Amino acid sequence: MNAGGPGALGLETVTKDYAVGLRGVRLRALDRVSLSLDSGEICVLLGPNGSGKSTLLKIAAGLLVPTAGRCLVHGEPAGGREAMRRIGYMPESPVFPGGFTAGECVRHYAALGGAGGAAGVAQADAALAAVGLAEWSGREARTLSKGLTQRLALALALVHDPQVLLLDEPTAGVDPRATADMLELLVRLRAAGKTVVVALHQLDQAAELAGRVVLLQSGRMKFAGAWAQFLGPVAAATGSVQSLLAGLRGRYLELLDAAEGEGGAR
Amino acid sequence: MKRIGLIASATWRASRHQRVFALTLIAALLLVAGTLWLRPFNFGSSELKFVADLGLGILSLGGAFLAVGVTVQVFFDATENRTLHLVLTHGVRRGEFILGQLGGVVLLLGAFTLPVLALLWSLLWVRETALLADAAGLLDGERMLRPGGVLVAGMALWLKACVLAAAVLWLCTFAGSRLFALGTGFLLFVVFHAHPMLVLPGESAGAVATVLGWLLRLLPDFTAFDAAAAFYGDGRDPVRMTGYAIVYVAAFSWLAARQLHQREL
Amino acid sequence: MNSSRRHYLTAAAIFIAAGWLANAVVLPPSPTRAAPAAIPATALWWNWLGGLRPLGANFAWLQLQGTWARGDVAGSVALIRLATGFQPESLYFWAGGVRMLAFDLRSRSQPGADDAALRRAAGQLLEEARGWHEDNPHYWIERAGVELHAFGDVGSAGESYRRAALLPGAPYHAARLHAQLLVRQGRLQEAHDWLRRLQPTLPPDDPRAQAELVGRRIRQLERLLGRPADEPQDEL
Repeated sequence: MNAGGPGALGLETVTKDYAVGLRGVRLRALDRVSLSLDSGEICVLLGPNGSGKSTLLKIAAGLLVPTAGRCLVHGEPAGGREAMRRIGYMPESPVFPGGFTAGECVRHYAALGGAGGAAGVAQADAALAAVGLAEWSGREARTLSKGLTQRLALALALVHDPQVLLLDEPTAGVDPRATADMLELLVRLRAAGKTVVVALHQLDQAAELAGRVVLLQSGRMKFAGAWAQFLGPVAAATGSVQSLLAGLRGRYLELLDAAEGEGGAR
Repeated sequence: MKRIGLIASATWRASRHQRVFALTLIAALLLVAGTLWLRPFNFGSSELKFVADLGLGILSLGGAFLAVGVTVQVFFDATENRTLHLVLTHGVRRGEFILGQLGGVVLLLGAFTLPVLALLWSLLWVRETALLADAAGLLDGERMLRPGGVLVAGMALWLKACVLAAAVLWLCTFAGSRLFALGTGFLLFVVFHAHPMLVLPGESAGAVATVLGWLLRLLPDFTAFDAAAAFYGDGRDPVRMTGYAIVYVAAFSWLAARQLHQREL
Repeated sequence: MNSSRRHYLTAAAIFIAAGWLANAVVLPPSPTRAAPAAIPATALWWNWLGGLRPLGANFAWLQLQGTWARGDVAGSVALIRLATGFQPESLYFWAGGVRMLAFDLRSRSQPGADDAALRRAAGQLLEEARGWHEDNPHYWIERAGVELHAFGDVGSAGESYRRAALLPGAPYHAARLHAQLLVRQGRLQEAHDWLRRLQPTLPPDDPRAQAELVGRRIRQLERLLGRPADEPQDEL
């Protein structure tokens, strides 16, 4: 992970200060963070609440302007039209307006991205299929479960086929099966050559993705490196822990999938 | 333009599904229809004036209520539910988002004004026809109700609500909460009506009072959209009135777009 | 200059430019608003109510029907003031209020009511209405009617009809009534000159203009003034 330089996503000593209150007291959310990711990489942002994960993603998405430093998407400044075309952003826990079906939502965002008519419909259908939401496309978006809502948000991020995906806690509040589906989908996207930057809280999920890790605290980068480096001395113990977690998830799904009464409470 | 249209259509679609719109529209229609119950008072010619003033007052208040309430609702829904983030990361500019949202609200205000105005017009027509028939031979048969006047009155109220919506949208871009935006929005409605009170200070006034007086007079003057005067054929030139509204809508939209750039999302 | 200060300065400049463009160029204030000194300051405060003003005026007017029917002078005056304060730009409330004070309440009021005070109140209301409706011929016609029939002041009424007749949109009868009141004051020559000036402006095909009647009156006045006459004399 090299600071600066060309790549899918590059942050060069990015600092972000927020003005708080009427007096505009400066609050530092990111402090000289540098990061460089290539195509096909997956990067997990870890850190406590308020550590700057969402701020970093928003800067990369062009929603926030850094106070100092710069952010490039495939060599283009973040926030510019060209950079926008190349990124797909999934905010944390979005809520969709009433009166729109999931399919209409995705078609609407495809049209906003410039794909109207038949092309827009095709793009929307492809995005819905990619996240496994095709059968729910006629359902009103607001009535979807949390897991399906997160999938819909991912479909919106994917609809214009971006090269860099920025996902803010895509598994927050989602049940284990939907979480497993989501993580599997992210791995597939990485395999398809997309760069995926994902903010997470659960370490087991980070372990499952096993990509690069950036650990933030109070806006400062405390660690940046490969998953194996992140594990460090505990690497030896993770084999058993990971197999335990995988076993637990398998048992959970087995019980859910069992026929009525087969695995029920006694 | 296409993106503005898409945002406007989505805003219009989302806002017309809101209960506040349906309830305001139904309440306004019921109140206007309720003026029929005033017939037993039998005020003669003033009955028509009463019904017209009541109807126009309901339109003005309902329009202001929707202009403030729905604008605050759609803007904060977009920011708090993070649809604004999604929209902006699909290549939509902040100015396009503001114009789109305003377009949706403007359509909604039209959808409120038109049916209430149509009902008011129909009621007045029916009552005037009945009164003229009752007074056959006594009056010269000339109608008070002029279609042009009714239309210009409705247009004046719609334009007034559109200017208010644009001002409220600007307010939303720097407001920290819905409550602040709602409260200040209704305050703006009152202050913009108080324009004639903002008398320029005399020669004896200090420099601060003079500058303040001039600045206050730069605010929109809602008495320019005098629906009652327009109704009786004594209103301002509709073309100039439209131009007046367009200048303020453009200015507030521009200010809102600029402020949205400054807002930390 | 930092970007934040530049942002606020640009915003202020845009606001000032828009305010100036809208209020000075696109839609300058109406003549009434340009002369605020002529407007009772208290009336302007009702503008705070926005769209509710006409509604408030109408409800005050409805209430007034009750106090008027009871002959309650003080209550009626208060409600007339409330209605005209709510919607001063509507001549309807001024005219109705003045008529109530000048005619109806004088006949309906309780025994002991001060007739002169009612007349004074009516006159004061007429004068206040002038601040809003000086350019409205119907205001002057209304005023003339009250001056003539309630105050018996033929001279003032004649002058009010004259002022009405000179305003755009005035009904034709205002000019004829002015001439008639001049005659009642014995100012025949002035009445004759007025009608002679009026006659060429009257459309012959509009029955409301009564061009023929005006011609007849001119001839009658000429006879009275000792000039040759071709027609029998009608009573003026």
